[in-house]
Amino acid sequence: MNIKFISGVFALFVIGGVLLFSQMQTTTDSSPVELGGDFSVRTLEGDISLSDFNDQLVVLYFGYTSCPDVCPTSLTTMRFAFAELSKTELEKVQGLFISVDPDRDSLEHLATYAQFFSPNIIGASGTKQQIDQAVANFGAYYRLVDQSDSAMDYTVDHSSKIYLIGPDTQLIKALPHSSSPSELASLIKTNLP
Amino acid sequence: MTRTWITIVSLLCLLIILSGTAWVLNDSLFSFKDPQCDINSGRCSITLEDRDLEITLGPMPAKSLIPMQLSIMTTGQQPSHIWADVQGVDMYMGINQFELKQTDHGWQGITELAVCTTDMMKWVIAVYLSVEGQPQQRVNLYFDSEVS
Repeated sequence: MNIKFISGVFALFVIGGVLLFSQMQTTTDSSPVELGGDFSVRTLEGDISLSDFNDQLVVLYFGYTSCPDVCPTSLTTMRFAFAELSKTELEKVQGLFISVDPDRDSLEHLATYAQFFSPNIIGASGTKQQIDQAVANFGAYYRLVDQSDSAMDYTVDHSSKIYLIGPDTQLIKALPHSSSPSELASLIKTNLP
Repeated sequence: MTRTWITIVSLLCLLIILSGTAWVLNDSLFSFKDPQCDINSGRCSITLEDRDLEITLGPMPAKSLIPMQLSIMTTGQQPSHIWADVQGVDMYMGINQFELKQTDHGWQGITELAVCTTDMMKWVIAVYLSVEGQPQQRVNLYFDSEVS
């Protein structure tokens, strides 16, 4: 075995060590994840993408129409927040309700359900892949839970946040379920394009 | 042929050493889990290398969609930034991260747990403290939630 070869292997270890050290220096400070990104879903009027609303803020909520109280509460928050906006402000905002339960929520039913809360909310859903993409982009969560002993067959565990999204499809803020309509309206007004 | 084998073995060793070092650094030096600290009681006192932390989380017991306040008082040099990440211990529950703001009563932030039909669920809040000129520190706080 010649000296050159051993030196080469040794150099490899040194380079690896330097790379590891520099990597640790740059990655030790964790920061909150930046959320957002385009996705497509289905509506009664056809497929839409988040990037279609490129001159508006999007106010997004994930839920399902059989949701007993949590989803209606959030959509009501959205409705009253929209009511606090002027006509001009409202034109720059689009509400979007995405059902994570497409088997039970038809597009027709979703359109009616969303409109019940506000004409400014679109009801949408999609394939599991489409829904999972949208959910993942914004760090949301849902899980179908078997309830075979109940008339509902299954229920849905889910996050309940209202996502305010900029025209660039990036998340501006995820508001907790307990947020008031005024808090949402104020955040919308601050971020209008 | 021998050289080829020595090279392969050397590369494998390098990979193992690098992965091991990264794992040890990530999980030992920069994170802290105090087995004596039970945040289920709503309050924890933790001593880190250079500071004491007085942490409160409540209201307890934790319940889905009920806002919870995380408060941290710290001795020593004040952090420049504190943020927290709430995760299910055995189940992915989405990304739930929030910043803490410095107030007269220490660092404070609000979070909420997702809707969960499980009777009881285990959660962990990872709290990240950044202090100027020092490596970031992470404290893991484990707690249970009940169905609302």
